[in-house]
Amino acid sequence: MEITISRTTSVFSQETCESLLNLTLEEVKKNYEVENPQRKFFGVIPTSFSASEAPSPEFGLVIDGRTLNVIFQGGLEEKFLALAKHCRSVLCCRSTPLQKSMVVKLVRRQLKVMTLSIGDGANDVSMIQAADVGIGISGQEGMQAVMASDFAISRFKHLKKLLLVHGHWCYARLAKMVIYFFYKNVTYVNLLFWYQFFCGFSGSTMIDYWQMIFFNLFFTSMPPLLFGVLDRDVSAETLLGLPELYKHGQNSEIYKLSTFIITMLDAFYQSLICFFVPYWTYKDSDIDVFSFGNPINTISLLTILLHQALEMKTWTLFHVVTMICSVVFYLIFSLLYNATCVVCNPPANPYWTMEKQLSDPTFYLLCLITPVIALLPRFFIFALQGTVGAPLTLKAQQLDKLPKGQQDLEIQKLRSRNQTTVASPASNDDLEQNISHLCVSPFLHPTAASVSHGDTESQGLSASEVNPLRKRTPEEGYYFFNRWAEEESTATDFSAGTFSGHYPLVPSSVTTGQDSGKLTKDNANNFNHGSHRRSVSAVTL
Amino acid sequence: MKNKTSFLPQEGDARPSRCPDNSAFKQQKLPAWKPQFTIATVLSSFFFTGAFCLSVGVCLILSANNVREIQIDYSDKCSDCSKLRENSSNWNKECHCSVNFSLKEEILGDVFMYYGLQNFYQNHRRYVISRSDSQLLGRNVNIQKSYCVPFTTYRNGTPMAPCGAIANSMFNDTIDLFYNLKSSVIQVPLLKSGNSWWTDKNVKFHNPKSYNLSSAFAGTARPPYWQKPVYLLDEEDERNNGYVNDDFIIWMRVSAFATFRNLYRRVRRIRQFADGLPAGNYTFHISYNFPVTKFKGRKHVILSTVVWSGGSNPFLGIAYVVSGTAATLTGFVITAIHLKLRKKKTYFQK
Repeated sequence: MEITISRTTSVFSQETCESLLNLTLEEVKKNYEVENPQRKFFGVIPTSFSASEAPSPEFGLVIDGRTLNVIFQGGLEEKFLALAKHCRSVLCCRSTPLQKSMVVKLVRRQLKVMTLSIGDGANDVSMIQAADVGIGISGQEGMQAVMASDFAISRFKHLKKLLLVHGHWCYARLAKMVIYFFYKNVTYVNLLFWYQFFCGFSGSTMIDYWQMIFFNLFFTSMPPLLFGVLDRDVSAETLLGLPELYKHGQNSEIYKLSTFIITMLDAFYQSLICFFVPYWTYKDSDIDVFSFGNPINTISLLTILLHQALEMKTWTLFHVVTMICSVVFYLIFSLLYNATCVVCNPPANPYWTMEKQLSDPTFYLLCLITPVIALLPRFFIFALQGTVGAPLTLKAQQLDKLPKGQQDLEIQKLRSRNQTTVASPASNDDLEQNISHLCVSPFLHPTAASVSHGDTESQGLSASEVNPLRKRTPEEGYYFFNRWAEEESTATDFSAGTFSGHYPLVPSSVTTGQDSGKLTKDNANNFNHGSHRRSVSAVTL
Repeated sequence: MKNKTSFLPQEGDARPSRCPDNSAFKQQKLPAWKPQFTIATVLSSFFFTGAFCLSVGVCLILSANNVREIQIDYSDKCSDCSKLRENSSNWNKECHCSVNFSLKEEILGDVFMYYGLQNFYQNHRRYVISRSDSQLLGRNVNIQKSYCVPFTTYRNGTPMAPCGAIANSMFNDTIDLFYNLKSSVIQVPLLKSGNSWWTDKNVKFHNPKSYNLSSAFAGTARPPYWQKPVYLLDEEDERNNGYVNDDFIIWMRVSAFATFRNLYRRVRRIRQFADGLPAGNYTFHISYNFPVTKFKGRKHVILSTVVWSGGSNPFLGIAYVVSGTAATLTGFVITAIHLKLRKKKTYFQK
């Protein structure tokens, strides 16, 4: 890909900017329709990628702080945003901290998307705070960015694992845990509701008060919490190897309205089973209120814990111990409480209720059959998922089980099936490769970049230097990011229109071991001239 | 990224590393078992569950069918008594009623006699809390502060023993069973103690301590609906009198549903009834005291044997059979789906 940056000189006014934006936007739209990948126009790299779907020519936008100033002051944000939407990535160089945060806020407000900011210097703090997720890099530039951020990492390259692995895990854990808590409480409280039909709607509870309170507090609290902390539904290696799995979280595939409704229906069904099977068993007999509530309590505990066990994808020692201990603790507590409370808790005073139940075969028969009936539909659906229409995460989980060599093979097969453009999996430093959608698919919107105007000295921006779109290294695999270096000293000078002559527009690739501010080897010497402090900031969307 | 190395290599080794530990817990690399729903495990679990549930269900249904039960509704048959009891001023008038039935086959084994009530909500919240367990422990408590209100004291200040609505509404019909042997009528011997939980009789219920029972309850009065005071509940057996009377204890154990039965008596296996109840004609003689017409309730008397799995209710057996069938059918469905789709499945063939 050849890139030519147009050079315009002279004072840049709002009308000029507006007309330039309009012109560029028209051209981009035309190109987008025509799908002509090799046209060049002004500073726009004519391979555009529309925000909606797949393969079309991709554009990149480079803009500098001075222009941004004109845009914001002249009220041209909408046009700027419209242009940016057509671009694969946008590079904003030489922008002030305020401009950085204004760009983030603009994108967030208008496009209503999740924004992520990553930066390492004090000038990135406002941008970090403006975005939905702010990531600070701790290191040479000090700790201000870290203190203002939601997440702090020590190297830029850790962003990949943060998003693909920890982000995925965090979403999966939280979504499943929240759904589980809703389900658990709906199931348990509905038991009390169904009893109202048989006690004249007087508010009588058939479960002893203390056992009811401790149900949520002790007996069913640890497994879901442990699940929410430790569960790993897909292994880290697979997540790094298959970035498509990131879409799973972006599309809220675990916690949609349909999932919630299904969970609520399942909760109602399970509470119906947990109540009515004991009810019909004990109907017309001489059972008393609290001896009726005891097996219901036990059954619902077993059902709820087994439900959690079905959801858990990773069984560490902690999980096993917690599950067993929850049941054992319940039994021990019930037995002790029922052996000591003669008058301690009116009106129940469940003295010897549990012991009596444990000596009755009907209790054991109930405890065996009711969880089975209650969980049969859910188990059936889980079993079918592996056979019919497995979602990508399920395939990825199956992938984990394969030996390593076969894993890579399967990843490639999956990729080639799922993509519309072929990605060459082996990365190299040749910038003239096709852009793989794989790498960009987690990021649906162009990264904010900057449009440079009229920078005079030409360092001879060659394609190898100024590819704002992609650079891959073998170690980094398939991920895509955009970095540039910005000079601190130019931040305040932009309005004066003087450039120090040092090139702001240098997207650099990051190879392992390099910290922020590293550049491609072509530009290294050019860039280092006169830069006192370099901060690296990126706004990715 | 196995280990976040320190960022400042040139600073010398004196500075301690601020990286998190490289332990399995903190790096989230704990050894774990990842369960997979393979076709083998799924199918085997379904079929095993199905087989197990079916076999247990069949056993349960067969044992429930072995239970012999006779249930007789006597609130209709004793209509004149029930009309008498509608007026509460007739409380001290006795009313007797007879109900006949016949057994075609003898009932072998232990026979239990229950009284059954229908539409009597012992599980109503305010009813359930209306008791004082401290008083029933024989302690001297101030029942004014208990949940027994309003069944605590009379207007002249005499406390009720026992207090509360549960005790007040105790079932006070007397049922006797007679067997017509040729031309004579024999009363079937019944056991009236040993019917309640051992822990109830010995731990939860105690009579107040005194040299004799009537002085123990001195200064108290019977609840308003009772016909005799609590220390006269069973004058023949001292250990079945007062608060520890079995009928009283059983009644205080409030039942879970509006249609319930309580154990009343057990057939004593002596003389002609050593094996159970022989075939023939029987008569219940009932002293009708408990009014049920006001709340459209019904009363029954039930004779039943018991088995290890409970009573004559076959529901648990049916539930096992149904779920066993469902599990087996689901197993077949999954097998069919798997066989059909196996050719189409192209990925992850091991």
